[in-house]
Formats: sequence, structure tokens, C-alpha cells
Amino acid sequence: MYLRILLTICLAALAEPTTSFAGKEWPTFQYAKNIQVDHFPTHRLFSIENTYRHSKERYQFALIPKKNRGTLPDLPEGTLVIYTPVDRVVAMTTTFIGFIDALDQQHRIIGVTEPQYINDPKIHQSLEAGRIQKVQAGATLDIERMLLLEPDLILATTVGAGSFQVQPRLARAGLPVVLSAEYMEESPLARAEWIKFIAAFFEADEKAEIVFHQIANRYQKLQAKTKEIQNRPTVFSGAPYAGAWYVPGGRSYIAQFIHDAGGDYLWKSDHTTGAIPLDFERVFRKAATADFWIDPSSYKNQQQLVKADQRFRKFHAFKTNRIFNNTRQMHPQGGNNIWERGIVHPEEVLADLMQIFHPELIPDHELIYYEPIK
Amino acid sequence: MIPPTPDQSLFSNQLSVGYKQRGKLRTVLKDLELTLKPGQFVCLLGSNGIGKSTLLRTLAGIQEPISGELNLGKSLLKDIPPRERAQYLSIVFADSLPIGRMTVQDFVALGRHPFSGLLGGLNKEDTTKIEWAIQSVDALELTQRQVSELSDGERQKVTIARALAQEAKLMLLDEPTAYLDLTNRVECMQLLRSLCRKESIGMLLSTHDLDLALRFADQLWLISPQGELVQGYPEELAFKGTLQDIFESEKLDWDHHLGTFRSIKTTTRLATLHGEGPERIWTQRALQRLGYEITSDQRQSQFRIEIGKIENDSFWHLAQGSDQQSFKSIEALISALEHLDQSE
Amino acid sequence: MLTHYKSLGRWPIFVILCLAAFVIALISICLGSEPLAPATVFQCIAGSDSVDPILQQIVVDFRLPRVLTALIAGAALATAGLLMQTIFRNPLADPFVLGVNSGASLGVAIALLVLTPAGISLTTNLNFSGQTLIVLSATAGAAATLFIVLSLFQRVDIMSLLIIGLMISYAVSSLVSILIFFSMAERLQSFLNWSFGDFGSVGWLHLPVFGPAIIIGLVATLFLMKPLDALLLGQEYAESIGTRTKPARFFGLLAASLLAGTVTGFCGPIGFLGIAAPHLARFLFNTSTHRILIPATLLIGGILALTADLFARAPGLDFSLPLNAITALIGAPVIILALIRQRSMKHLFG
Repeated sequence: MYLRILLTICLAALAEPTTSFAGKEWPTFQYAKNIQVDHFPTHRLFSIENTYRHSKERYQFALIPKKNRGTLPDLPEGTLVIYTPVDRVVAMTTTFIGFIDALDQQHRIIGVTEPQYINDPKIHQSLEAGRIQKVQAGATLDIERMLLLEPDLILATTVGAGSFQVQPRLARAGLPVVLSAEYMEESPLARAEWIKFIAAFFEADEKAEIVFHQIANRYQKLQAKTKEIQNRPTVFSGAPYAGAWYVPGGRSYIAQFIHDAGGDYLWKSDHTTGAIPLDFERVFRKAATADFWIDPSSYKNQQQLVKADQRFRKFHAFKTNRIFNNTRQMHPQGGNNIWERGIVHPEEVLADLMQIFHPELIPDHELIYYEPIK
Repeated sequence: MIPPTPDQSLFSNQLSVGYKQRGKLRTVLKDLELTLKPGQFVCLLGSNGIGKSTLLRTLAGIQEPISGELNLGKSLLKDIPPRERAQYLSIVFADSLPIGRMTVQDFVALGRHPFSGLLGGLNKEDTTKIEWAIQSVDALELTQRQVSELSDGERQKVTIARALAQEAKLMLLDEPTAYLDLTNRVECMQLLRSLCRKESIGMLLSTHDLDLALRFADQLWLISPQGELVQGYPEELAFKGTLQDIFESEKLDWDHHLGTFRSIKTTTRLATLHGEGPERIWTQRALQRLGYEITSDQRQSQFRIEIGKIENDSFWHLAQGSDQQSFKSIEALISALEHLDQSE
Repeated sequence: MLTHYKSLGRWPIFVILCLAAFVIALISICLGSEPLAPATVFQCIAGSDSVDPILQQIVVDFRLPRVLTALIAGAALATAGLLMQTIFRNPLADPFVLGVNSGASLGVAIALLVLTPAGISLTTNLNFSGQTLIVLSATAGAAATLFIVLSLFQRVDIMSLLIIGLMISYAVSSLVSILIFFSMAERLQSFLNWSFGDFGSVGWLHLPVFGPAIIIGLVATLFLMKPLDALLLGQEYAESIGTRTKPARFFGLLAASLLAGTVTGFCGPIGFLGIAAPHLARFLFNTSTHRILIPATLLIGGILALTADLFARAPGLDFSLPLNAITALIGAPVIILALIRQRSMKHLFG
């Protein structure tokens, strides 16, 4: 595999050494379903779909190397042109920071939203030093400030602070806003594969291929260990908040993780990709005897759980001390690295969960994102 | 519980009443020396906005006097706790109806509040008093009716019954007859008057109805347009011309013979009238209403009306110069006169 | 004699209402994630060994406190609504006219939308759990608003107080809007969830606080029965029959706010019940006399809350619905129907 990549690099370099596009065979997407790429001699055309649930829209972005700037190719209507490599990037959600970090392109970030949800300490330093600006998002999106920043690229999604209006408003102002749909991918590897898309803007395709190749490799190796496993412990996730317990759907990202880690997710037969609001009783009925409880909101210890609701005590997982939360790498202000590095490195999350469900399978692993709730 | 004072009358000493308007005191009536005794029936008369309500509200303790003293029995009115005061003094003011659904019985039962306990439970005496109060206003058949569904006259009755249930020796009523028709007005006054006598309750009621006041009141309190309060017996006040002085205006004319005011039309026209019986009285009224004075001097009169009778049917004969007309009903006569009026 | 005749006519309705409350409570306990036979339910409550321990826990730890909470909260909101309608002599008054719920909302909004994002991890730094935090912040917010409104009580007349309450409500709600405007989606979801209302979050742990607070409010209301009747006549008349209207109104407002504030604190801002239940009680019993109306409103409030909760949990379906949407959805048609049958509000009120 590794060889093939090197070979491709060499071949590409040999074939069109200077004028044409260096990595024209890159990227290709193996896992990601919401993205498609077409290669042309002058540019690459990315098509993104499913940017939010039931979305019918298709966004197209033409990535043209700066050296080809003069020759604008024929593009489908509505295509946004981005000249690569980009220099000045605004990341509208924290997941992009994870990808950009993994590509060693952090110095190109000039703006972020909601610093309190960012885990990366380097970003916090840059924010303090003024190298990175805090930009508003959502309802308070400040277009003028955004224009003054003169970004080459704004990375946005339709969730969280991004919200639905961000992309259209920025686009109307002529700003280079790119909408990602990585969070809509159902499998962790598919989501991680979007690093290739982000890399294309920095022309860091090579790096992305290498990084993702390693990640996928590791993930599959780990997954292989649980494939044939018979005793899958039952698992549930989340915690109720003000009456509603948002349980991850059977097709969700976390459900996939639990399955790949050798767990038996209690809502695996459900068909939703998002979360389903249930009342406490329904969850209790199903999960009272479950073996593991993961991601109980922001609870840090059993005492807090009991204080919140004595009924938590009645879960089998509580009685047997098998509650784990992904809060090990939580920034004191609330940013959690599992939503930054963890998105890029699903193999690490998977290893954590395997270690929790089947410690015998990876005895040497030390938990990276998860910690037991005691 | 029963008031210990032998004297249960309400009396004032140098009392001035008025109200606060935008932080400024506005005195309406000054230096009043008034007394209302149990068993007395007093009518308060005066034109609109002269201060009748202000006086009543002050006497009821709802409003603070501007100066002077107001006593109930041996104590100052304002020093008597509300519960006890309610046992001495009841009120029947306008807009006194409860909101929502309430039967007459429940409504009248509110009058027992000054006697009932913390939770308002009623004992046998209370229920007897409630029944008595309803009976006193002759409204037993209304007992289970909803107050909101009563007619104006019925409503006034039960409001009075509610005040009666309080067993207070003094009752203040603000225009109790204001919204009633003539029959109900008379009936209401008669009822109040008889209760006043029978139960020995002192009643002070404000009214516009001079006619009824003169007929029923023991005493009149008149407020002049200048804001002076005159007290006296009705006959005395009428005879001395005080009534005339106070109430006569450009639009109203005191009729000594009838003891009432009548309205004046600006131009005085004269007519002669011949005839007898009720026909004459009502024809005269009609003429007066239309602005004619009755005169016996035929030369000055504009026309002459003769009332005659053929068997049992009356007829009216109208002669104006050489014009002569006959009418078979007073209705026809009046419309002809009105027509005459318009053609002038 | 007259009184006895009248009260007798009302007993059947009271009995029917009590039965209805019991039956709906029983249905509510029987239905849920898994339907249970009434016999099983009784076995669970009695602590019989023959039933599945998980079912027993579900009945004892989930459904029972939920039903109790719904009954108590419904009774409390309805009574608070009745108090406000009588005190303000206004058919549109509800338990929240003095801004108790907007105050509570602001408290919760500050806790969820300001403190948490500002880096104060409430669960670790202040050692409050989520639910307790919400209860505390809601109660604090409600109490603060109430304090402001009631401190003006001496200075203005009752109508002005109503308008002041409304104004404070609007102002406080605007603050909440501003907080929402600057908040991100994840936090908003928590706040939204709270604002939907829920009877299921009050467990046995909270009932010993929740219950007595409500009982104090209800008992206080019973003692206000007599002055409340008098207040139906308006201030001057009430005073003329010996009522001290100022203290009666003050304690009435205090009781109503205690009831509404406690429910809002524990269950979220649950609308509609408070305004609807007293009207239904008047309609059913054809009276505004508080001796009848207080117990009637209390019962009807409990029944409405139970029914709304039952629908909100959507037994048989795989999800639950926001309670607040259901209260109005099932309550509004009932009121509209009652009004159409009565033809005019004047007969019910005013």
C-alpha cells in the first residue's frame, strides 16, 4: 500500500513535472459517501452532498492551483472556485481544527468560532497573542468583519454554531465558504477520510494519504479482532437532561464505534443516524441490565450522578462500576479533544472502547479519551 | 362581637372631603356637620360630579377625609377594625356585583363575612340571617339563580339583601335606583323605606330622583352647585324655596303646584286648554313638554284645545284661528302639534 | 337548609373527578415503555417477589413519582392560576402573570447559557448536579422576580401591579432572548428541553422538597378562601364586609408564586394548566365560590396534568413529546368547547 502511494507520487511527478497538477489522482474516497471528486488537467472538482439530513442540495468546489490562475476552466454553474494552496483559513467548527492540526497546517488558521469549545492549547495561545481572531457565527455572524479578514477559505458545516444560514450568507457576500458534510458520515473511518478533502486546499494531499492510510490500517486491524467475537457486552450511551434522554440512533457514528469495538449497542436495530429523544423510563427499561454505560453527558463521578438522579444507581452498569466517559481530554473550559483529534483518529477512540469492552484484546493500550466514572 | 356602644350613629365634625388628583388635594365639600342615625332615611341630592360619591365613600371609610373627624358611635371610624366596622356599616354601591358564577344565596352569604370564622363556614344563625335577608327584599324565588343572570331590578334587590345580611345599623347607598325603570325605582324606594323603619336601619342614599326623594326621605341633604351642603326636612326645603334655589336652572323650572321641576323650552308659547279628568292632565303634560304654557287668556294663546266626550270615547278639538281639527286620540293630537311645531 | 340542598348537588361531580384522577393515574402507571396489567402494578408497589425486579423499579422509581409529581404540579399550577384570576379579577390571569416563569427561565438560562460556557463547570466547581442546578437556578430566578414585583405591592394598585408584572415578564424574557441569541446550539438544546417541561425529572429524592413546598402553598390558599370570595366583589366591597384586602392579596400572591415557582423550578415552565383548570372548574361546578372552586380546581389541575403527561409520553410509540406542547394541545379545545357551550365568558367570569 505504502509503496503504491510512493509510486503514484513518482509517476505523477514524472508525468507532469511542472505545469500540470501534481497529485491529480488524489484524492480518492473509499469510505466517505457524501463526497465525490472529479479530476481534470487544470483543476479538481469536489461535489458534496447530504450536508444536513434530507438535504437535496449539491455543492461544488473547484480547486485550482494558484499557478493555473489565468486559465479558468469550464465549470458547472454555481461552482465556487478556490485557488490552492490556501493561506488564510477560518474554521467555523472545532472538527476542522483536528484535521488541520493533523496536516501540520495550523499556522494557516486566522479565525475560529467559540474558542471555549476548542481543546487545542496552541490555538488558545494564538488567540491570546492575537494571531487568530475570534469570529462570530450563527445568528450573530458578522459579515463585515469576515470580509476584513480576507480569508482564502472558510470551512463551515450546518451544525452547531455554523447553523443553516452561515453558508448562504457568507456566499452571498462573495466569501469563499466551503460546506463540509463529514459529520453526516455514518462510519468513523468515513468521517476521518475527509482529511483528504481538507488537505486538497493546502495541497497537502500526500500527507493526508499517508496519515489516513495509517489510520485506516490501524482501525481495520483493531476491528478485525472483534469481528468474530462471541460475547459482546451490551452498551448504552448518554444521559438524560431536563427530561429527555437523547439516545444515539442505531446508524449513528457512536453506534458504529460500539459495534466495531465488540460491543452490543442496545439501540442497534434502530435506523436513525442522529439521536432519538426518549424518556428516562424507556431507557431504563432497556438498559437497566446493560453491561456498559458510556458518555454519560458531563458527569465526572458517581457521586454527581447520584446527586442528579438517584435512579442512576439502579443501573447494573452503575452497580458494577462500568461507566466510562470520554472526558479525559476535556479542556477546563469545555473543549473536548475527542471532537478534534478524535475525529481524525477514530482508531484511537476505537482502541479506547475495545480496551473498555474487551481489555484482553489490547492489553497494552492506555485510555486516551475515555476515563472510568468512579 | 356585638358593638358595645349604645349610640350607633355616624357623625362628623368639621369634616372636609375630597380627593387627591396628581398629588394635589382637591376639596369637594367643606366643614360638614352630619349625623346619620339608625332608623333614619336620608336622601343625598345634588347634580353630577358635585361630590355625592366622594362624600359617601368617605362616610363608608373607603376614602380618607381631608380634614375633620368622622365618628361611628364612640370611636373614630378609621380606628375601627374592618371586621367590626362591617358589623356597623354596610354599603350598596354601583358595580358591586361579583365576577364569575355565584348564586344569589352565595352572594348574600358574603354579607356574613364579618361574623363567620377564619374559613368562612356558616352556622345556623348565619343561614337563618341569609334567608331572612333574601326574604326581606322579597327575593326568595331568586335564591338559587345566578347573580349574573338577574334583571337590573332583581340585582338591586339582592345587593340590598347582601348588605342587610351584614346586620349593620347603618347602610350607605350610592344611587341605588340609577339603572332602574320607574316601577322598579318606586318599588326599591318603598322597600328601603320600609326596611329602614322595620329594622331600624339608618340609610343614606344618593339619588337624582328629586320626586322620589321628596316623597320618601326623612331628611334631605342637598349639595348646591357652589358646593354647600344643606340639610333639612323635604317639605321645609321645598317650601322655603331652597330646592328651587339649588336646582333651578335655565333648563329646569320648579313647578310649585306639582312639586316637581319641568323642562323649559326657550321660546314661551301659550295655549288654552279646556277639559277635565286624566285626559286634561296628560294633554297638559304633552303641551308643556312641547313648550306651551297653559293660559286662560285666549287672546295671547296660539291655539285652543277642547277635550270632549262622546259616550265613552274622548276627542280633542284643536282650533287655531280659522283652522279647526278633531282628533280621536291623544296620539293623533300630539303628532299634529309636533307637525305644527316643525312648520313654524 | 338552603346550603345543604346546594352542596349535595355537587358531591357526585367531586366523586366522579376523584375517580377520574385515580383511573387516569392508574392508566398512567400501567402504560409506558412496557404496558403492565393493573394487577402487576399493585404487586410491584406492594413489593411482591414474583415480579421482575426491573419492572418493579420502573413502577416504583419511575412511574409512581412521575404520576405523583404530575398530580401535585397540576394541582399547584391550577390553584395558583385560580388565585391570580381572583386577585386580579381577570380571566386571562395565569400563575405566571407576575413573571415567575420568566424569572425562572432567566435563572436557568444564566446557568446553562452563561455560566457553563464561561468555563465555570458547574458540576465540578460548584458541585451541583445538572438537575439540582436547574432547580436552584430556576427557583432563584423566580424568587428574584417575585421579590421585585412584591416590593412594589405597597406602592401601586392591583391593576398597576398586574401591568408591572407583565412588563417585568417582557423585560426578563428579552434578557433570555439575548442570552439565546449569543448561545450555541448544543447549550440551547438543554435550555429548550427545560422549557418544554417535564414531570419525570422529579424523583423520590426531590419529592420530599417538592411536595411540602406545594402543600404549604395549598394550605395557605385554603386559609385565604374567605377573603378570596370577598375579593370577587372588588376591593371596596371586600373591605366593606370586613376583609383586609392588602394582606389578603399579598399572601394570595405569595402563595400563588410559591406554587408556580416551585413547579417551574422542578418541572420547567408548564403553561396553560394554570389558566385552564379554574375555568373548567367554574364551568363544571357553575360557581365562583372558593369553598367549591379551590378543591375543584385542584382536582381538575391534577387530572389535566396527568392526562397531558400520559399523552406526552406517547405510550406505544418509540419517543416522547414535549409536555408543554401537549398541555395546550389537549387543553385548548376543552376550553374552547366549554366557551362555545356557555356562549359567553360573562357567564363564567365577569
